[in-house]
Parts: sequence; structure tokens; C-alpha cells
Amino acid sequence: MPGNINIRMYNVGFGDCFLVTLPTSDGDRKILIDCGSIKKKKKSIEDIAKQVIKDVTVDGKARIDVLVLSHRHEDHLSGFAKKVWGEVEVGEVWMPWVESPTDPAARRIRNELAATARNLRVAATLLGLDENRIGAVALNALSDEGALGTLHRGFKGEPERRFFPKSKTAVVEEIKTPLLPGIDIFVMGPPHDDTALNDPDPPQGQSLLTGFSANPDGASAGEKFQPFGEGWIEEFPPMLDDRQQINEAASMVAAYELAAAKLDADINNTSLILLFRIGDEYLLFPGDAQWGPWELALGDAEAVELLEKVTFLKVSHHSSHNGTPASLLRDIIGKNNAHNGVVQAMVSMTPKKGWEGIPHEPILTLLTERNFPFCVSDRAEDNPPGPFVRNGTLCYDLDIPV
Amino acid sequence: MKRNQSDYATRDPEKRRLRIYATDPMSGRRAPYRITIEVPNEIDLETGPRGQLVEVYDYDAWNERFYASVNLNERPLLMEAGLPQSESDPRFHQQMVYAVAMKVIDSAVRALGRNISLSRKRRPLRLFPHAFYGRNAFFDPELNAILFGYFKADVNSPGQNIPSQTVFTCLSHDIIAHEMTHAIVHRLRPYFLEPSNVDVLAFHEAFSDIVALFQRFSYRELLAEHIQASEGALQKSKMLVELAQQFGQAIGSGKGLRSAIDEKPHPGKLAKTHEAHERGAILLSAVFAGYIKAFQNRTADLLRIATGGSGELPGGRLHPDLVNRLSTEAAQLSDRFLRMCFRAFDYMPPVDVTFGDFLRALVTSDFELNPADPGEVRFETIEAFRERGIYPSGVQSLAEEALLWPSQINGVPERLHDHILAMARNLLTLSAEGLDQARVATRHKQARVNQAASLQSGSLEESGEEDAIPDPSRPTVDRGAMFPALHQYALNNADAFGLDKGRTIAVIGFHATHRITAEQRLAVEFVAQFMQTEEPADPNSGDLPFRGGATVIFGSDGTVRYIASKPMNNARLPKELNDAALARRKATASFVESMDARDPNMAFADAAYISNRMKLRARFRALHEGA
Repeated sequence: MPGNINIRMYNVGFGDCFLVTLPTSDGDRKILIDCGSIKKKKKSIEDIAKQVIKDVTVDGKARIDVLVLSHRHEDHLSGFAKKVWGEVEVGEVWMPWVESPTDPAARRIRNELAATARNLRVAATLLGLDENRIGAVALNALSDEGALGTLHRGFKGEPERRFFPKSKTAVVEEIKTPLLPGIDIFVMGPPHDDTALNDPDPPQGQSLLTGFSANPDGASAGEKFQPFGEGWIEEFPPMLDDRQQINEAASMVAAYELAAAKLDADINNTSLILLFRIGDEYLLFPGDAQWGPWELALGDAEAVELLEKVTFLKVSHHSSHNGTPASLLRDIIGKNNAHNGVVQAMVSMTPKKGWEGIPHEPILTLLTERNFPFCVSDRAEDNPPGPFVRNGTLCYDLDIPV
Repeated sequence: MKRNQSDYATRDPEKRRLRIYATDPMSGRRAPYRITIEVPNEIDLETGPRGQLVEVYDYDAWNERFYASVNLNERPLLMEAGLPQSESDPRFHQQMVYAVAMKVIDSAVRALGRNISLSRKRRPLRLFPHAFYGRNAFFDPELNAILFGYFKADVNSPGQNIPSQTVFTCLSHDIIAHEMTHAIVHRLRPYFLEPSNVDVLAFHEAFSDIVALFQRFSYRELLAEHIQASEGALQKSKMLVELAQQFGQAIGSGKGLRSAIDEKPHPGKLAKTHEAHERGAILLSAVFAGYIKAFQNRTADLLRIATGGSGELPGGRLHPDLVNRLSTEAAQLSDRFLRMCFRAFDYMPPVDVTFGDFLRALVTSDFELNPADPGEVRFETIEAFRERGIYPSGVQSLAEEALLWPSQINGVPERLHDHILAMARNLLTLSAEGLDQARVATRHKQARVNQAASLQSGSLEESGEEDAIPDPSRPTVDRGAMFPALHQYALNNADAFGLDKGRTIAVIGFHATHRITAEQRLAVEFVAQFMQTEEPADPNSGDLPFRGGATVIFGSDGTVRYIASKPMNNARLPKELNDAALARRKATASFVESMDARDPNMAFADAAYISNRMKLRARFRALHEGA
């Protein structure tokens, strides 16, 4: 099955959308991983979605063999809200186990994350912080029922929905599908382990936000709660010369920001981490996985052995600090691969207000230091480095011969 | 002089009685949990209440308004031990916050053997009982204030609260005690908010929990109730061992915020626990397990007497006399633990503290006062630490003599020179007077002005803030002479303390202590803290400066008795000490790296956050589980 692997990174702005074409004995197979954006670059996510559909249309028939949702963040999901997907035939839909509609543990985690996102939204409104990171994170995390509906119930061809990993303990799980003959697929996350998912009971962000849940007594979310009646107000209060600083401390903005960051990370940690092997090529798509799952993987001999063979990396979480542990990049990834340790990498990102830590420059620097060819969706260089080919403002392509 | 003018007849009360919830309003629905406690009487207490040690301001920043405040010197309130317990009257909230805060300060003062002042810039520590809407309460060192929040209980799972009931963190005894302890710890060791290793912040949290727990054990009525209910097995009483229950239940967890009991201690757990509160809970459970074991040792004979020799209690209610005796033992022992823990501060290094250091400080301080270790209190505590994987680095074994801080680590340090010793003794007099003043002040109204002056006089601090205007009629210690003299002494003995002769040494504290040992001897010690800082700070460590230092404990004759050193690496040190310094440096680097990996803020971090991140991470106001 000689041919080329093609990896296409669409320039969605702040988000992810990757189309992977794999040559097999049965011809080319197409895998779509995510389609979402919360800050567009040149093209809206609708246009990108249409373009993707166009790109998978052969002889007038749009078909994706495996469609993957890495995790439910809006910036990976928003593109699926559109009706156009009803025309696309899909073989299988893969999602992280936490999206399973029947697994009670998954339901619990989803409910908690959703409640946290809602409460965070209420808190942001009450505290006047809608424009702040808190509001942005809450929006990104609030369930997009339309798009999720497409993934669970949409598409032509009644695709089977599969949720990975199945194993509650193994760090690496191999999965099979007849749709991708000759290709090995390994799942390395999300773990079922609560600690790795940063999911203490009750979740920290949730507990801070106790009191911002919808009020059963009918008080509207926009109203500030008052603990005592008007009769208790002091008319001749003492002086406080640092009242401004007191107000600032009492606003607890930093605590709510941390709660927001935590919620964001918790959802990122539910990312499906996929490794595809075809020939000697090992392609790693970790979604937005952050520290928790990586820590588990880095502590597992089998996972490390696979990570050492990686030849292509989709850099996790738009190259944030915690998306890629320094030790992974420095000492492990690709160490024993088929290209003398060189890994090709793609980074999908554009700077966005609120996410000031993206990109984390030291990660890009480390990629450079290790002589890993990489391209960044946001940087529309005319002559991209290495093997990458820029396709106008639309996407970057990478061809890998097998 | 007429008899009615005699000292005895005219003295003011030493104590003020005030009503509080023993735990929180949730359990306070039952009568035994509404108690009256005694706190030191501040005669000139103003409306607020605002006294010389703490001031309560009922300012609500969320609603930008003040609430009516209580005057505890109103006659009816003096007669009735303050306002009755109430959730709906903010003035009771002010009273309770004030009462528990004063109680904790009193415990600290009695244990330390010297007065402490929590003032900054001549302003006492401020307490804001209803500062904001939100599930949190925190001590803010920059404002020198404790801010308490209020919030509505979880709608779906409110525990024993009703859904959406308002929960006031300022009505939780444990939360008040915990936050007050943060303020006291910060006063005693200001550098313990620099998270230079994984234990530093966890220690802050653990210590605050330890004090909150043992403080609660000093309430006899409560103890008796639970000893009866648990048939003498204190550790089985949830009410006693779970901290901040209403707060914990209100968030839907169905339990208190933290428990002093870990069912199965495991030495491996410590290495896997990074979050400050969770890690602190391990230290809390170690101390508490030591307490429970010591309690069992001490009461085994009582149980044998009560059961005709078997020691096996029959079912049913215990004899009230036995309950009474067991309560006395439990209260006395908790008092010993509380003192032991607070006193340990005099034996703690000035920077970069670890759980192991705390164990050594505990052992050393208690050894000084109770060399014979009646009831094997120290032995059991050491055991409990070992079972949880807590031991100091660089000790040969967990034998007592190995855990005591050494008096020499690198050659023999000089005795304090006579001119320093003279000044130190002056300080000792001041310190003793300071303690006495608090008593005298209530006796002679004209002595009141000295009360404030006495607060600060027992110790000299680097910050150089004199909180009160010096009283010209009293002897003073010339800071201008004392600090340079100590500085010169520290330079001369840098090698002996594991410090770097080539670097500036800051004298960050000097104080005198006096205590009564178990054998009724007077123990006098001088405690000096020296610190060194490497500049500039390493940007890779979140601009956390690398510091070394030593706490040196002198006997009354000026000889060095103990050295708690955090060596500063330099070529003059023997390999062992130099390696210890390098190991600390490495521990800081790896802690910063692990914090970075776990900090979800990193994806949102701007340059300002990155460059200051270690300090920002240590701010209580940004921590979720701030209480």
C-alpha cells in the first residue's frame, strides 16, 4: 500500500480541525479530528466545515471513515452545529469515554462539569466579569447541545458511536476497526482515574461556586444576595482608608479565575489521546490533554515505549505550557522513531484574549532546539519550514510517504 | 487605706465571658453546642468590637455597606456574656469572631511564653465577618485582615442544612481559629508564605488546622458530651474530629471540610500528595494520631479502675465520674499538644520549612519542658509521623536524641558576648513585664496605657515596626545597638551556623522566652533568627529568592543550645552541609516545575503572572479551599 499520508491542519483560528488521509490496502481512508473555533482567523467555522466536506467528497459523495471528537470544548466542536453534516456519510464516530450516554461515571463527570460551567457563568455575571477570562472559559465550556447532537445522532449512514478507552486501568489500549485495515490504533486517554482527571469529590471549582447555582427560591441570577435586612445597615459607619483594596481582595477575582482555569483544564483532560501507526509512522493526536493524563502516560512503560516511536505530533492544547510536559518533549517523544529522532509537529492556534499563556513560547523554542520541523496555523508564512505546504489562508498540508 | 480601695477590691475582671457556637450553627441547634467561653478582658474595648489585639469591621464589600456593630461593654451584654447565639443578628457574628480570635491569641501567648502583636503599621489585625458573597474565608497578609464570606448552601445536597440556607463562615469556630492561626504563623515566620518546597504552604494549612482542632478540645462541656457519646473513644466522634462541618456539608460533600483521622495511614501517600490542604491533612492526622495514642496511654489505668481490671468497657452509658475524669485528661493533654505545637515555633528554621523540621522542633521544644516524657507523648507522636512517612532528612534515626536539633553543626559557635547578653536580658525583663502587664492592666486602670506598649516589647523584628509609642518610664532595648551587634555575631559565626560568610546576613528576629518546666524550674532562652538571600532571584523559579538561614537558641548564659539551620551553599562549608544546601535548591526547582505542570492558570498566564507566579500561588485569596 504505497502512498502518502496527508495531514491537513485547517486554519480555524483558536481551535482545532485536522483531516488525516491514510493510504490502506482498500484505498485512502479519511479521519477527521475535531472541527471548532472560538476565534476565527480568515474563514468562519461554517466555511471551514463546508471546505472539509468538500475535501472529503469523492465522486459527489462525502464520506469520512472515522470522525473523532477529542473533547467537548466549543473550540473543538462548534463546526458540527451546522446542518450540512447531515449530507456526510460517516463510518464510525469516536469520542472520549466521558461522552458515553450510558456510563454512569461519565454522566456524573459531565453533570459536574456542566454545573460548574453554568455556575461560573452566573458568578461571572454577578461579579461583572463577563468580559474577563471567567466569562470566556464558561462560554467555551457550556455544552453546545446542537453540535453534540450532530455527533451523537447526526450524519448519514448511521455510524456506530464508540467511546474510548474501555479499560478502567490500562494506560494504553489498542482498538480495532475494519474501516482502517493495516493500521494500529492506540488510545492513551482520557484515563478513568479521578486524580488524573483532576476530579476530586466534589470538584474544586464546583465547591468554590457553591451559592451560584440556580436559585430555587426564585431570586434571579442578576440580583445580589443580601444576608441581612435593611434594618441592620449602619448609617454612620467607621472609616476604612483602604476600602478600595478591601473591595479588591473581597472580589476574589483571582480565585474565580483559577476556578475557571481549573474547569478549562478538567475538560481538556477528558481529551481522547490517539496514536495511529501506519508502516513506521506513528501519528499522535492528543487533543488538548494537559498534565493529568500525561503524568499517567509518562509513568507507564508501554506508553513511553510508544511515545518514543512517535514521528508526528499534533501539539496539545494549542501549545500551552501544560499541554506538553517539558520532559516529554525533551527526553521522550520520538527518541526511538524511524526518522532518527526527528518529529514533525503541527500547532493549531492564534492568540486569544484571556488565554495569555498560549502559545507558550518555550515550547516552540524547544521544538526548534530539537530540530523538529513544525508549523503554526496562525503564521501564514509563504515558505513554511520543512515539508509543510501552505494552501492559501485555508490550511497547511503535510505529506508523509509510507 | 480603706479596705474597699485595696487592690483586691478594685481590680477589674481579667476575663470577659462571651457566648459562641462551639462548632457552628448547624450543630448549634443543640444546647450543648451553644457555649460561653472566657477571653482576656480588654477594658477599653470599643464598639465593633475593636480592641488592641484585633478589630472587627462589619463591612460587606459585595453589597458595599456596613452593618450595625456591637458594643460588648454595654451593661446588659456584660451581665449576660454577650448576645445570645443567633444566625440572623450580625452583631452576634461580630461577637463570635472576636471571641474566638481572642481565644486563639490567648492560647498562643500562653504557649509561647510571650506576648505577640498581630499589628502592622500600628493597626491591629482586622476581621471582616461578612466581607463578600462566596464560599471562602482567608487571611490577607497585605491588608493584615481576615475576610470571611457567606454563601448559600448547595441546592441539591445541603447536608444537615436546608437547601439554599445562608452559611456564614464567620460562625464556624474552626474557620475562625484556622484563619487566626494563619495570621499568627505569618507573624512568627513571615517567610513561610514563600513556597520554596512542597511542605511550606502545607505546613501553614496543617498548623492552622491543628490549632483549630485542639482549641475545640479545650471546651469541656463539648468534650464530656462526646466522651459519653463515643464511650470514651474520642477518635470515633465525628463531631470532634471533623473540621468545619457545616461548611463542608453545605457544598454537598456530606462531611466536614477536613478530618483529623485517616483510617489507614500509609507512608507512601505523602509523596503522592501535592495540594497544600491535602498534604497538610496528613500532618494534621499525624499530630492527632499521636494525641489519641497518648490519650489512650494516659487513660488506660482509669479504664481498668472503672472496669474492675479488664479495661473493657461494658455497653451503655459511662459513669459520669469516669466521663469527668476522661474529659479532664483529654483537655489537659490537648492543652499540652497545643502548647507543644506553638512552642515548636521557637525551634523552627526561619525559611524553607519542612514537615520533618516541624517534628524536630516539636521534639526539641517538648524535651526542654518534659524531659521524662510522661505518657509517652513524644514517642507516640514520633511514631505517628513515621507511619505517615514524615521524617526529617539527614537524621540517623528516629530516636529522640537524633531528632533534637544539634548544638553544633560545624564547629563550636561562640557564646553571646556580654554586651549582647546584657541587652538580651533587658529584653527578657521587658518580655516578662509584658506578660505581667496584661494582668496588672486589668487591676490598675492607670496602667492601661502600658498594655499596648507591652505587646510588642518581648521581641524585636526585622520589620522594625514599633507598634506602640514607647513609654519613656520603662526600660527599652536600643534597636540601634542590638541589631548591629547581633549581625556582627552572626558574621563571626557564619560557618558554625551553616551560612555563607561572604554574603549579607539579615537578623530577622530576636526574642526572649521564659517558661516553667514540668519540674517547676524556670527555663529562659533567647532565640535569634538569621537569614541570607541570594540575589537576584532565579526567574525560572517564579522569582522565588533562594534563601538560607538559621534559628539559634541560646541559654540564659548565652551559650548556643540548638541550631535549626537551612544551610547556604558555599565553599567553606563541609561537604555534608553544602550538599544539604544544594539539595534544598534542587527541591525548590523541582517543586516549581511540579507546580507549573499542575497549575491550570498557565494556559492563561501573562508575563506578569509568569514572573511572579510562585508568590501569587501562595496568596490565600486565590486558593479555592482557602478556609
